[in-house]
Amino acid sequence: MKFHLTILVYLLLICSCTRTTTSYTEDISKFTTIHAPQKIKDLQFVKYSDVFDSVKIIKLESTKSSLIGRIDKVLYYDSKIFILDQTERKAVFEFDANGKFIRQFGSVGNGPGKYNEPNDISVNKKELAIWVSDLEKFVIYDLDGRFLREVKTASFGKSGAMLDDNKFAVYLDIGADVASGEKFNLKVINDQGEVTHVAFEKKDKDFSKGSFFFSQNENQFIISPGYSNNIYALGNNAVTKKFAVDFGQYQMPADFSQKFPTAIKFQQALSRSNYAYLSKYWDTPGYLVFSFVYKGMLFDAYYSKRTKVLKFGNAWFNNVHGILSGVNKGAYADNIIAIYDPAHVDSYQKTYKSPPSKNQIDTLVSGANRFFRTGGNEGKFVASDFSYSKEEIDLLHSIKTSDNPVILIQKLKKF
Amino acid sequence: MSKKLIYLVMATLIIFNFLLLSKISGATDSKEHDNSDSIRLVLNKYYHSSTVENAQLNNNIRLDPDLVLTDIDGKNVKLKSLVASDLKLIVRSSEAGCSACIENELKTIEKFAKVIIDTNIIVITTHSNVRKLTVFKQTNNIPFKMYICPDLGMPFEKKSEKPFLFLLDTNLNAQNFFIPEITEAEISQRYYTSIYKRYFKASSQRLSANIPYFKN
Repeated sequence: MKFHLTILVYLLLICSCTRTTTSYTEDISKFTTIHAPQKIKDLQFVKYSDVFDSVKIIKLESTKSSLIGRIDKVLYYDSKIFILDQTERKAVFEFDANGKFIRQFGSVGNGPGKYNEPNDISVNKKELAIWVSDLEKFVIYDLDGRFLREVKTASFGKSGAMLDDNKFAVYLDIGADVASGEKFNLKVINDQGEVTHVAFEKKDKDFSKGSFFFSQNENQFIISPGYSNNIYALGNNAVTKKFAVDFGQYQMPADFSQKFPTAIKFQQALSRSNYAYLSKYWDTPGYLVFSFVYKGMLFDAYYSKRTKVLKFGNAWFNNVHGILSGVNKGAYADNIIAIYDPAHVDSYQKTYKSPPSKNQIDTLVSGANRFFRTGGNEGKFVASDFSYSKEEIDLLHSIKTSDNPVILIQKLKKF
Repeated sequence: MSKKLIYLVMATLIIFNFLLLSKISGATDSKEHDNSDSIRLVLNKYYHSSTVENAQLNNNIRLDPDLVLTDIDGKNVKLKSLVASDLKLIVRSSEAGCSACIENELKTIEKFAKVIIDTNIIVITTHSNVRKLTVFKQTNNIPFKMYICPDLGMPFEKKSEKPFLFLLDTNLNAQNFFIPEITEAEISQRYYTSIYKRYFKASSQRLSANIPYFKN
């Protein structure tokens, strides 16, 4: 008996030595289902001023060192703005809250602290981490821009985030179209590169879903596996399902992708389909803000956690000449950060010599509705109640078409 | 006791055997691409047929003499003024295209430029604004003149975002249409060598002795 017990303990010990990872707990016990929307075609857009209290315009300094090609991700942390430009400038920039350029983190090159292309960023009180997909590593700098260390992951992931000093998450987004031995789409590793947890088991016939980022708001991180329409929070030892967006009749069936032999054919069918799917998402203390795509068009949705009210918008439609509008790219506290590219700011500058009257705005709105009525968009254009102050008009006139994109800090309204 | 020891060793070996088998099966799951001859033949056939088709559709196209481009300072210039006196090699790049493809090709073109002089090469992109063009030039250290034009009127632009090249003569005729492939650097080098020999050698003031590809 004693001998058998010894054998049993021995076998258990050997088996336990081989286990290097444990699954993250996918806690789905408490989550909020958001039913949105009943009929996308008849969606009523609200005014910008129904969603936001105020908008602060930050002009980012444009010098040779700070010139940005495209903003892929923006983080606002401790009154600093961090910008990721993955492919055009291949750089990560820091600006202060007034838009003054502070520094660039790292640079393109070989060796420690260098990258071919920065693919995601995350920041905490002490450090900034750049995720580098092709080199399968995090490069970590202190907030003075000094290179500190690298964390190797041995995984080719689309995005990566530093959850804390010793916890790094990589979202792999592996599909049937990618040769990989990986079994899970989310890996969490420690700073020694050891996998501590995994989640989101890969299904054999799924396709990879393209590039996206971990969504960071201060110290909170969320992620949504592509086309799942579920949003998960990354906690200490658990991935918790926090929101499920139910698109009703527009919800994509779970096996839809499996009907197509290639990712390209799947994408083509999706763009022709009647399905809507989540695109971007930000969790703020009071709201869940998300974008979704339906028939190639991007819609914004603002969900109040307090009142459960859901409002819809679209930067193009619901802000006719109220104030500069842009594409939502980030969040901090109860603010949504949008980006406006000033390539055509000269047309605004011609229009706005002084704050427009209500009559002028009404004329513009009716003109836009008439002009676009052939596309079935008549009546969809609404004007914001915002109008420019004298200072904002001066700021607007100081922007050149060749300047860096403008940051819009949009404070969410209590609704 | 020796029997017990044998049991113990056997149990250990069985477990390691299982582990080894599971590792081997994992390795087979992630096997690399099949490099069989049949795939290579299919790719070759595709490459040749698309080359023939694109050359037929994009050679001897006369570009619009009134076409206006934007230079890096935001000023408008007529395309015609850029080819007033000489044949130029036009490098066409799309903002939405494969950035690695154009970056890679520009490095090869830079070697070629040492032979035919920088001013005979013009890069025309589809960037949506001057800032993006500046970033592109700055990030890739591009020494050539650069302009923005959303649509040159070449048929290939309508079906692909891939970079392509052609020679533009003083009458605005596009010829020697070529699509570089990122994996086929040797074909690009042959293209540059041939157009050098045929069109630029006589006018070139420089010797190509230091650059093996462009030796006579």
